[in-house]
Amino acid sequence: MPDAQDGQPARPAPITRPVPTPKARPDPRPLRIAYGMGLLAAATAIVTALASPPTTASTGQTATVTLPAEPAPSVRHVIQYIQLQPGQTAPPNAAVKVVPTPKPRVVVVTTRQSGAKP
Amino acid sequence: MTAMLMADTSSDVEPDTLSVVTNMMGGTVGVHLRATADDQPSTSQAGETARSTLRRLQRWADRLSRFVGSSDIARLNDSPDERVPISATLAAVLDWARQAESLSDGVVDVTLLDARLRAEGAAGPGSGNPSDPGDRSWSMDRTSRATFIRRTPGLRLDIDGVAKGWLADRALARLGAYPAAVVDADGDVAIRLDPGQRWRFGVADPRTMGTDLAELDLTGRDEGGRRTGFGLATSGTTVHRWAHDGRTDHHLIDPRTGRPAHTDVVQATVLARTAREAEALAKTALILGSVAGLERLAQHDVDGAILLTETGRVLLTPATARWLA
Repeated sequence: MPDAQDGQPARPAPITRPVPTPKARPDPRPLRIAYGMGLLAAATAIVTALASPPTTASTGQTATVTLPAEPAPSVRHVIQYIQLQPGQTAPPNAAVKVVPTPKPRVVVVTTRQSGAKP
Repeated sequence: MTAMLMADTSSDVEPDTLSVVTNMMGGTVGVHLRATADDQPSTSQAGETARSTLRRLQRWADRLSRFVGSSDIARLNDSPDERVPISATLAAVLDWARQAESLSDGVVDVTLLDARLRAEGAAGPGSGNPSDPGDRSWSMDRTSRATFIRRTPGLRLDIDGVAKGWLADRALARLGAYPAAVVDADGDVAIRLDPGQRWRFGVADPRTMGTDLAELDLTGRDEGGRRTGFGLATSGTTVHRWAHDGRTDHHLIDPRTGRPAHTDVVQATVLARTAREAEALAKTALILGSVAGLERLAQHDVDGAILLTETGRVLLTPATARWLA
């Protein structure tokens, strides 16, 4: 319905919505600090474990373990073959095996019909 | 140059034997040296000698190949002049060609290039256009400053055959310091053996690749204090073959007919005093056939010969037996 005063149609009254009240949340900072401290502690433990020399496990009590003594390892060197150089002699009681001289391969040159001429 | 060194590291090769092999002239060329005494050149020296000899062979071959456009023989064949100056190297080869012509009673003839190309039926690389100049005579004259060849303009020369044996002998002459030396110019082999030195050679069987018809065990003889020279060469009709007008032909032209020779011999191997003689006589035996060829070889008192006939018979001259391995 037109307004009698300015000739403009009357505007509908604005709808007022209720403003939602923000939900109260707990302060995250203490928890973040706690997480940070935890991560820091874990990282410190890992670095310490990697960097420190290995130690025997300890349960907190001092324990002495006596391991049985192992015999000293013995290495037996077995010499099966000695290739004597010219002028050398074999040790006493050594079995001397004479290596046959390799048969030289004869260089055979073959005459044939040529593949092509110069 | 692709070289194959067989000495130095291989323990099963003959002691102090060195072989250097390379691809050249469309085939395989090798220099083989043996130094056994302490006062002989060392193996490394032998290797360098062999390689330098192959380089020299390559330079000679480049001057004598009709397949090289700038070669001496190509320039001679292309010249329209009747009298043409030629190099000392080509003159030396043509000197030998004249001797080979005489040795073979005209069977070896370097004027048959165009007949050969006509037989092939096509002008291949380095062949130009086959023509027939009619007169096939040629001569050389020398002045104090140059050598000239005089021939009918258009007559072209074919030194494919005579040059290889000449090259092998010429290269062997550079290897005098070695008690045993072998130059293999793609099957034409020049050999020098001191008395007592031995070397084994195969004669390829053309019917089965990689097999030999025979093996020859050559030994150096005492020829009045001179070293023994041998030449071993093979000529045949089974490699350079082509089918033309329903028949199979080859590259060896019979000068009496101007056509490829058709005889009962398909491969001839000759052992002579030089590689160039062996090459000329092998070709002669093949073109003449077994009967006339063996007669001709007996006249020249060759050191050995092995002929393979088209029926598969292997014919030897009596002198060959002493070398059979």
